[in-house]
Amino acid sequence: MKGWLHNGCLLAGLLIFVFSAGLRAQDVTEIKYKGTDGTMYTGLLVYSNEEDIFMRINFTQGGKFRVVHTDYAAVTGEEDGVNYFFLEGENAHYVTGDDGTAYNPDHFIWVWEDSGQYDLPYTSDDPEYNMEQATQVISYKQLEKGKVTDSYLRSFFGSAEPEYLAMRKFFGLEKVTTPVKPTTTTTTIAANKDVTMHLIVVANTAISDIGSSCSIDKRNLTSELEGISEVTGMKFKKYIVEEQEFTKSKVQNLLNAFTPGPNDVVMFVYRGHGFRWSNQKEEYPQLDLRYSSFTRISENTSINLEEVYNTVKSKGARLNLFFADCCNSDVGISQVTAASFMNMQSNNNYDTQKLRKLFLLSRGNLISTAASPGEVSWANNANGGFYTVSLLQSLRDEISYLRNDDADWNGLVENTIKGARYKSSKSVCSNCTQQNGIYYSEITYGK
Amino acid sequence: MANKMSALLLAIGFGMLTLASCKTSSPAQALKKALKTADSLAVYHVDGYPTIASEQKTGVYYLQGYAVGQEQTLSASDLVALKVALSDTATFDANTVKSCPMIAQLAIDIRKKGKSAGTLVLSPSPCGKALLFEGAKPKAPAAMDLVIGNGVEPLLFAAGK
Repeated sequence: MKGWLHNGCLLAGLLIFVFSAGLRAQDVTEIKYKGTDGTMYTGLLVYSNEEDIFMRINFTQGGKFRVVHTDYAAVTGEEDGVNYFFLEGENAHYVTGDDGTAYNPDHFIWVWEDSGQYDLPYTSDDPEYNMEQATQVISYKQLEKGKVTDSYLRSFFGSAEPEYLAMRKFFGLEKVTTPVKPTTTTTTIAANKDVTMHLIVVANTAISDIGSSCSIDKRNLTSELEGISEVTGMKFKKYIVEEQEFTKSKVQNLLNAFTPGPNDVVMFVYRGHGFRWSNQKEEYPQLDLRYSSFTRISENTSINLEEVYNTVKSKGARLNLFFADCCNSDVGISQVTAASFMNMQSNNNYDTQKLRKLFLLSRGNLISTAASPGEVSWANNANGGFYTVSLLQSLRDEISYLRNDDADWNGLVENTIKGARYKSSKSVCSNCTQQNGIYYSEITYGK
Repeated sequence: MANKMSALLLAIGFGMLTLASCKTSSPAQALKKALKTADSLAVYHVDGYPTIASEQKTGVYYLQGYAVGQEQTLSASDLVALKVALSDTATFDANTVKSCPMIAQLAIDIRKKGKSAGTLVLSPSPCGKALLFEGAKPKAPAAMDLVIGNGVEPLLFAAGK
């Protein structure tokens, strides 16, 4: 144990995307490692979110080719300035080559310091988690579209397995027969080129405690939605309110001047501090629009999410989506009426039919926030806000080839809330209190 | 499952000790270091927000920009307990933080040989946060969250304090 963790002092590079992407969706990676008996193992790790991870492992032992399926749960944490990311294997079973012997699931652990030094993970199959005998894996790499062959996938999956068919689509080996294109059958949806995706991100990137996590979320949201717009053929327009522009007047000016078209999609995402007045009745939080701790909280520096929702909704876009990743806890001050009112990188491996349903065939409004009244919302400076990370994971998951069911916004936002709840649970974040997001949706779908 | 995870985290925790010699200093560790050489702590009630230098009033005492009110007196035993709780790096978390606005209530002046060696500004739960200003000169503070269940808040923010 001491030895393999001590190697963390010497760590460099490759893992950085693993953990920065560690809480992101739909990564498929290959891990090669050697067992204590010299057997070479090749694992195909499919990561959707912390609760939905599996690995197919192929190896030859006793002259027999074998494939094992193992489910994983991810645990992240920090102890005394050292961070860890642990993949705990469970339910290991043979897919092929079963000779009646049990297969102990392999566990994997990454450790790194706050300074961001990374290296390859270590692995052990000890059922009691005794990592004394853990060995460092030989390689770890993300698999990319266009570089994975059918025969490679077949070394992990049977040809009739749904995961195999999904993987073929994911890696572009399956011809997509129904690409997203301007629809002619639905009068309510115009040609894609006439649809604009407006992404409004209001992020408190300058504040000392959560600024870095807000920056990460802003970057990931922009990248993801830009990718989706490209795939669907929608025009993409982004509006970023951040740094010294992170003020109520800037947000109000933006919203007042905002004029989406009747077929457009609007996605508003808030990442910053949030709170409730002690005498507040609204269920949704006040958005704290101060970038400096020198500015006092008042009605002039905050706005309720419902006010943003109603303002944008009245502009008449086809689809309006509102997400606020912030606390919803009592600030200890009653509202006083003011005298004057003033690199997750997108991989573009999306199921285009699902994208079409979510962004082109949908109409209505959705509002959601990260925490129920009285609750706080959590963020990690390495990964971003738990809710925003979960939102991106759920979006990826909802439009993934790996999902067999239909895409819809209610399922997406429910998974977002569930994901943030899980990330803030004691089993995953010992310092957190559980956050339970809320939402309201009135979205219908055309054909 | 819970037992398994506890065993694992124990194992990880053991390994972390071996890394201690190579990791970079966190704000909590900087605070611990400052407290180790401090000869006294003074706790003050402060305004919720700092005041920029040009707007600070004469006759008002400011600690790192926060207008200072009454001193909060603590018993000798509470002061010892406070120093222990503040020196515990598990009291703070600079990585996983709450997305709520900090409104300061107290400041702790860490004094050494009659001079300020650092200031810790605190807000209570539900938005328990801390800002550490190292040294006496105004500079950007390091932000941390007060971990839920920490030993500092009962000593400072309990009813009647």
